[in-house]
Amino acid sequence: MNIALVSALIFLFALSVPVAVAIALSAIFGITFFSNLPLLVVPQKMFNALDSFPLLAIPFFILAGNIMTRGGVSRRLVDFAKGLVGGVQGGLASSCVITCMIFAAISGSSVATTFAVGAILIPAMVKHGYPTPVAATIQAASAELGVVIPPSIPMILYAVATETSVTQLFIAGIGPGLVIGVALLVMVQIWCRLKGYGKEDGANREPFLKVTLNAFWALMLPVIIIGGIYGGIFTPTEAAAVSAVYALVVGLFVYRELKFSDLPDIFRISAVSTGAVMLIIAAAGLFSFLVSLSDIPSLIGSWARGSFDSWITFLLFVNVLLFVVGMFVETSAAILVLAPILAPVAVAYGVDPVHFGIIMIVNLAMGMITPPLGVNLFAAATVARTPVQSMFRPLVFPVTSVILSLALITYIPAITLWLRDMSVAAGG
Amino acid sequence: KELNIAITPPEESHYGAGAKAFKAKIEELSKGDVTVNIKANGVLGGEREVLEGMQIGSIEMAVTSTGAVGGFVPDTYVLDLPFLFKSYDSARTILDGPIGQGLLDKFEPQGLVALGWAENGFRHITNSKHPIKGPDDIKGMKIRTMENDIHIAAFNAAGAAPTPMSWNEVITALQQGTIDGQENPMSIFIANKIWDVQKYVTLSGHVYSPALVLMSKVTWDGLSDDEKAWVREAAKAAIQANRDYVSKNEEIGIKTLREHGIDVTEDFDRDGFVQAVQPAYEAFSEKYGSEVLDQIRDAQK
Amino acid sequence: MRSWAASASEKLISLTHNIAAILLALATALIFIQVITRFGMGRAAVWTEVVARGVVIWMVFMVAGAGFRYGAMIPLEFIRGVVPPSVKRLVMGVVTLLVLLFLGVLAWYGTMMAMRVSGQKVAMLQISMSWFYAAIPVGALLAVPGVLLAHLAPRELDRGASE
Ligand code: NA
Ligand code: NA
Repeated sequence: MNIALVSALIFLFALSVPVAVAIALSAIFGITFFSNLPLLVVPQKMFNALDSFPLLAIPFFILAGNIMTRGGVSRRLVDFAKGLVGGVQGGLASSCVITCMIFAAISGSSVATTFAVGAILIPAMVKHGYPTPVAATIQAASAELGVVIPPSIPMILYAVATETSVTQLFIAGIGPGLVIGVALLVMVQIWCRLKGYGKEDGANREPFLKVTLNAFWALMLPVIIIGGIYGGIFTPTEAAAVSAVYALVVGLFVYRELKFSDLPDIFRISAVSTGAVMLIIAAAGLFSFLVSLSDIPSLIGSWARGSFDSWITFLLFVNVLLFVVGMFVETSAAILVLAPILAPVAVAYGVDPVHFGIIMIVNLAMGMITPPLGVNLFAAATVARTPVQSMFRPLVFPVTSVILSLALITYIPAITLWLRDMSVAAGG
Repeated sequence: KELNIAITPPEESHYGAGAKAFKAKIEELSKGDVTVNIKANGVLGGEREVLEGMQIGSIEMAVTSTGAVGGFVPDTYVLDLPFLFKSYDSARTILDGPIGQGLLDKFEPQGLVALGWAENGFRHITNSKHPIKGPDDIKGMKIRTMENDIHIAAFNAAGAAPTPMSWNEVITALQQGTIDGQENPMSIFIANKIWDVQKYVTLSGHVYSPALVLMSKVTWDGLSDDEKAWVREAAKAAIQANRDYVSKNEEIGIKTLREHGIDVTEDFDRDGFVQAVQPAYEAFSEKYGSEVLDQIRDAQK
Repeated sequence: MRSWAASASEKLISLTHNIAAILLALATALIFIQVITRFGMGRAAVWTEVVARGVVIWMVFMVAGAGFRYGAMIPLEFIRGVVPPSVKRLVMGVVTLLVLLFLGVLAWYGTMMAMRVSGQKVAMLQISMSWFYAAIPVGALLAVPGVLLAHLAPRELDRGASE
């Protein structure tokens, strides 16, 4: 059964069957030929995978991202970041990282971040002489922060799959998000100096005070989201809906860049993106039911439990495993299938489940920019209108810096846990 | 034969205790012909999802609370009424007797074979504001409830603001003050270290929360008569182990809560609450009839 | 495909797409109302969460047709990029058939499942679970023209000013 499942999946992926359909069809194949299960389980598991309140955050985040892009919120955030760091060589690329960090504090999705920020910054970088693949790569890598800095859809998925606290994961993501952000900033600076990119980035920069004032309502959004969650006004799931409504109000009535006539299109586009992502989650729910019924989880679990002499080697194994998985498997599916298997083993090795969740998310977020399957690559390539393959070589720079950050995050648990421990102590 | 038993809590729990006792008993009775896999932590799905899975035959067995069961067998809603049972003894006796059996018989038309009543125990209220001694103390308090009409009607009647919320958001919602309190059996308080996020517990015992040992009818129909007898006997062992675990939890629970600085209210105005929740009884009787309700009341006179 | 059939299919996909967009707006409004009623009025609307879940499930399956129509369903494109055009044509035909097979399974067993759960009531709402489950077969059937159109006349979704 298990070998049949995996070979069918690889075969269907190779044929370029859409990911959701490939996952579901390989499950259908396995059920029909290698089990006594009724095929009724196909709609049943797909339905129930979607029938979960925390998952409602996904459509709302995607919607909020689209509203912010159309409503002028994203552009003002970019102007603000340019005002902040845009003066030096490579300043535009650095603005890209900074904007993504701010945007990440609003959006729970890296793809949404890529579209919202990339739509403005990729053309700007290309105009300032960055090669298109390089601009697309910097954008794709920076947008990875969308799921590391809270709020974050994968964190919600991990929390659902392992019954960990969403809010604790959110708090725990802040430190690692800053570490990766700084690593990307350093990388961008080195890269630009090595290759001579971005010498003219200081041109056309507006005064810092002006762009900050302009961006005031946009910058309030992360404040409202974070304040609302930690102030007990709404849950992380509800925060996603609130941010969509807020962005709508700011776009329509404050910045007035959004017209009511734009709304149907925004909802139509958001619905398609949501459908594509949620169908993958539905199919992954079916697939992981088959995996859960089999003895693979307990086999991997008991093998991993007995095979390492400490948490240090265990986490090394996990990181290598996730890196390989992240190359081929979509983040949500990887978390839904692997988190319930690996998290209990990690706990047995004395790793905090929140720390472990962050390791999984940072690693799989890197999977979004590693070929062959990387959703951020596809998204950035779409925005930049460049072939995905053209980004493979430049990707060496950001991937290296993320791997270094991941090593720090894995082996210095305090990066993840100190803020969480402080807030738990304060809340208790 | 291989049987998967789905439970949503971890293996170390009152359900896990039942599942483990079932596994040990049936593997002994069948001399290893029937093997059991305990699938804990909800890996096979949430409770409603597992009930559906048993209906279509994709999951063989489960130990499940009655939380989602009312959607399938509405007759069980009567058990959600507040202050229905006086004590553990009367709840267990009534459910093990003809009234309980009458309810179990209603499952078969839904494709589920109900093997007996296990339990979660009595539900108590926790909150972060002040001790709850009488109905006045609960006025306007945002209490998380399950998605259950009767529970919500009861808390509404008592003057609280019931807030249904999915369990994975509850602990953080309590911590952040999005809601003020929640209600659950003692074992859930302990398992979730409720003292991290709550200050007060009232041992209200407002609802006795039963649980069920269930088998898919598809699986049941595929068993020989011998195997069916083994399953019945193993289910009895499961229920006994589960009840022992709950009793032990109830005993040590109060002490554990106090050790962690929780203010535990044992002495509260039960009659006042019983009065306050009467509208929920009336609404219930109107909707579902009062036949079983009267039987349960008569049995406790 | 004959032109009247093609244009009828386009209209159908456009209709399901619009319905999905409205459902998304509705779900957003429901959760916003939930926050307002709980925080603003101190008493949460108890049915919003359950309804929003049902609405989003319907949205996901209603928009499947548009997702396939506009090639938005996220495939891995590597083999397609390296094989000669004739092979590529064949591969794409096979993929279309596989997608139709998937939709067929969803439509058939989704209908059976929707009937199987007719006795089950949705928590908090006095309606049958079938109303939620019906999203699967209905969405799967309505997606068929989208898959055929994408195969015969591929087109991408116009992302307007967002790009
Ligand atoms: Na984020
Ligand atoms: Na990848």
